[in-house]
Amino acid sequence: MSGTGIDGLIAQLGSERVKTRESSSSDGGLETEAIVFADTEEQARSVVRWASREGVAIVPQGKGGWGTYGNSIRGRAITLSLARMNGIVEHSPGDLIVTVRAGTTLADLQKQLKEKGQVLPLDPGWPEHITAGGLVATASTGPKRLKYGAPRDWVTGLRMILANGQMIRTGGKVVKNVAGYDMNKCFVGSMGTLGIITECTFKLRPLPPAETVLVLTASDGETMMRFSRRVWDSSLEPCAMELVNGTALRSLTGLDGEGCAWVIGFEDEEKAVTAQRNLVARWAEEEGLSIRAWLEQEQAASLWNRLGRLTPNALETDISGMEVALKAITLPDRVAGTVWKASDVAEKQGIEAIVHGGIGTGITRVNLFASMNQLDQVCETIGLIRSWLEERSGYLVVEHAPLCVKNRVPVWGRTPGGFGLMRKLKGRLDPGSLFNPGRFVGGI
Amino acid sequence: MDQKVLEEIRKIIPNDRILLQLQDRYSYSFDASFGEYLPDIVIQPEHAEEISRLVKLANRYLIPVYPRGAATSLSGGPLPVEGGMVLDMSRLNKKLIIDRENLLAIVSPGVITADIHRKAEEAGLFYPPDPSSSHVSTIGGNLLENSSGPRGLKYGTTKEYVIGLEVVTPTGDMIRTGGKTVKNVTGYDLTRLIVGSEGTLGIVTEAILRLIPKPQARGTLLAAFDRLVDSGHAITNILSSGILPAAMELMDNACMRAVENFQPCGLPLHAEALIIVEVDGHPIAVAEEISQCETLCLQMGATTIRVAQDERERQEIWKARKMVSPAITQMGPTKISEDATVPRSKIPDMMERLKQIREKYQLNLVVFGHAGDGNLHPNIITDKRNLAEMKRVEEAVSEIFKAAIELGGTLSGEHGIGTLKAPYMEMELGEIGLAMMKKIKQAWDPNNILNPGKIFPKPGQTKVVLTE
Repeated sequence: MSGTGIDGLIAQLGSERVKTRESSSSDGGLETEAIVFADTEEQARSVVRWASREGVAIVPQGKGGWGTYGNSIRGRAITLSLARMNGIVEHSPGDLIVTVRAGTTLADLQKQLKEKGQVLPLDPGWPEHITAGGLVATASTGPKRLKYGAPRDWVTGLRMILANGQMIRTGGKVVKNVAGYDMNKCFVGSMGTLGIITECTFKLRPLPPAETVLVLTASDGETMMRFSRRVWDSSLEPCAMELVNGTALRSLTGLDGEGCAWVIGFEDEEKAVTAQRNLVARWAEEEGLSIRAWLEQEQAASLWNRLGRLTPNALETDISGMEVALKAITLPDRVAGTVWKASDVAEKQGIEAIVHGGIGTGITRVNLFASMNQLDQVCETIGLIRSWLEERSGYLVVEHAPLCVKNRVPVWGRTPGGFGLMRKLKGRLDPGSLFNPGRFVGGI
Repeated sequence: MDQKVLEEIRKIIPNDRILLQLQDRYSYSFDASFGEYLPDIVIQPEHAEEISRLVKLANRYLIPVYPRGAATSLSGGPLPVEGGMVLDMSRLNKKLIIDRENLLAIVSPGVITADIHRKAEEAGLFYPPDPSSSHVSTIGGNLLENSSGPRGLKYGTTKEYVIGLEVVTPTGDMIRTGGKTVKNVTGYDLTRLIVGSEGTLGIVTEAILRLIPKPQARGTLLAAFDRLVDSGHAITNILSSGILPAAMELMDNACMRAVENFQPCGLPLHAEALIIVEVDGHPIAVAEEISQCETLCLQMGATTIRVAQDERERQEIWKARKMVSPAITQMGPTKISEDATVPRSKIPDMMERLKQIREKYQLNLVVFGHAGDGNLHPNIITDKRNLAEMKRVEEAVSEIFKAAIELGGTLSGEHGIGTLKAPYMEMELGEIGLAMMKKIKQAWDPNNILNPGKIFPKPGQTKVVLTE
């Protein structure tokens, strides 16, 4: 690596913070020349200044769980890991506000908030792998998005390193703020293409005292849908309501299932949870559904956690086979159709598919597990699901896949509306394309 | 107005929707904030295409464009501070569609926000944002100013309920952000950057809003305190007790007196402050939470507590709160409304700072607001003809902003920056933060056509000026 300037970086930061690597190709095309671990904001800034001088791009990273997400990086690049910049900076329970360093994992954060009876109500899978910065950059969500919304609804402030090395603070510790443009919203979900997040401030909620989950099945799809409409038209307030396919049900509960199952959860005061759970149970019986599982408190929480783990990520990939995670987005009333369609397409291609979708969120997760020689079938499956969705004004994003798949299937699908404005935004904030060049939608 | 430009405008808009007479233009020269600015021309577009063509023309001739809803802005959002063209959006009010299956509303910008509330509730749904002016203000204005209201505490602000927009960009292109019918799209979140941009980044011509199921039950209480600081502690104690109220409002004694003079509501005038707490959700949870709130208020020294026993009593409690704004305008001819926002635990400190400011400058400063989310509305009642007093108001306003920022807060929680607060933006955001916002404005609006004179301070401008 001599002559590339990485030696200069090692001299600056110490060899324990810079790991150079020979190129290998197992990680989905986001392999870089070196991974640099910053302990402090100042070190991270010095890496940004170095990269800017050397003309080397930066791939910002937390623990690397989403390290395969997006297109391949254009040109030479290093990875800047913020995993060592972790911990709570300030938690003020009376304000329902917490500020954390970007490398703090969601699992660690939730554990500490729980001691104070509070929660950040965001539940993407693998909380031990996703960091606060990664959560904000990817805007990942889980099934409870139904009740609590997405990261953009919970971020009140950020600290960022900009491409010119300057530090910036956006928003703050107040929950309402209209002083100028809402730059937080601009950075949430920007896939690390506009700056490096070093600190995140979130709104919090009181921890709900009670939680319950019911798993329901029926002999036919018609019954399933009649039940869902009844819940939907009522004033019940489920925190999540996922339709899971047979394969997902088996992985999740060990229960047999030919068709799909409902996984429906409630969180609230204990009496309100009990009342809603009893009502759902009664309706299930009236509509001819069977209650296959009935879980309370930790057991309920653990089921949602297991559901999140059905989606593969870059740190837990089984490289003996091919694992692909797709996110399908549709109108909420098309989720059931999407779950059935995706399961059916995969089955016909002979590929195992774990599929589940949130009624009300419009997000369906399609996880494909295939052997290395099924590349054609995997790509065919993705293509068929994507065109089915696009015909129904939905779309599909490939969140995790080996490079051989991404070489044949576009990661992001169609270019979104207003793309010209997005390009102008990127052009102004990162004119030299220092951060994640090419990785995001439209090659931004 | 230049004749050549006027002729081109007439090719886009028929004569009966172009206003040039002084008396017509005058009606468009003010809003609910401070200051009057006369536009050169007022146009009443009916379609997005017309707006797109007008904005393109404005770019060619460098004419400032000022979109205007119902002009209830408290920060000067629609004021044509550099003259030019006002777009009266009131005729774009035809669409108000509720999609029950997908929990969506599709609306034209000129639709009155209260009509969305009503239509959604008829379908058993709920659009939470409720600015106090919602019975007259338009959704387009609410979106561009990100106006919120009491329910922001539990339900978040207007921004959190916007899924997608149809927008005319500052260069006159028509785009859709957020996809027409889909909840999330890839790419940068243009939707939420435009929402709250005070009309400087785009003109909304249609919006897709997210609705939620209507809460089954609501519980409301009013608690009075002999000491203002106790009410502040009651608020923070409720918030850290595990209850998340739908709204938590505060009024000081001056507001209570103003309301009682204006329309008597039976408020406890002996008290220094009162708070209104509303919880909603499942009926069982509501009953439990409201009784917990009652206990917490008593522990903090509440002298009177009234729990609404039915919808009529609930409406009565809220009427007192909604009357505050009209009631205090009876106290003097000029009202300067601020909405500095602080972290919720800093409310008692902010109340103390406001008290000091009132005493130091000898002003009629009253306080009410959405205390649950730290968003206070200190209002100074004055008379703009009294120049000596107006000078003291300028000083007091500066100190209010300074206090908010020192306590970790912001200049504005929901009214917007507009013209009056622009000089303080750098104090809050720092030089780099403000420069970044300016970069975005310049990237999208290279000719500075759309709502110029707002948000960004003029060079050398460091202080609010209320006197000529």
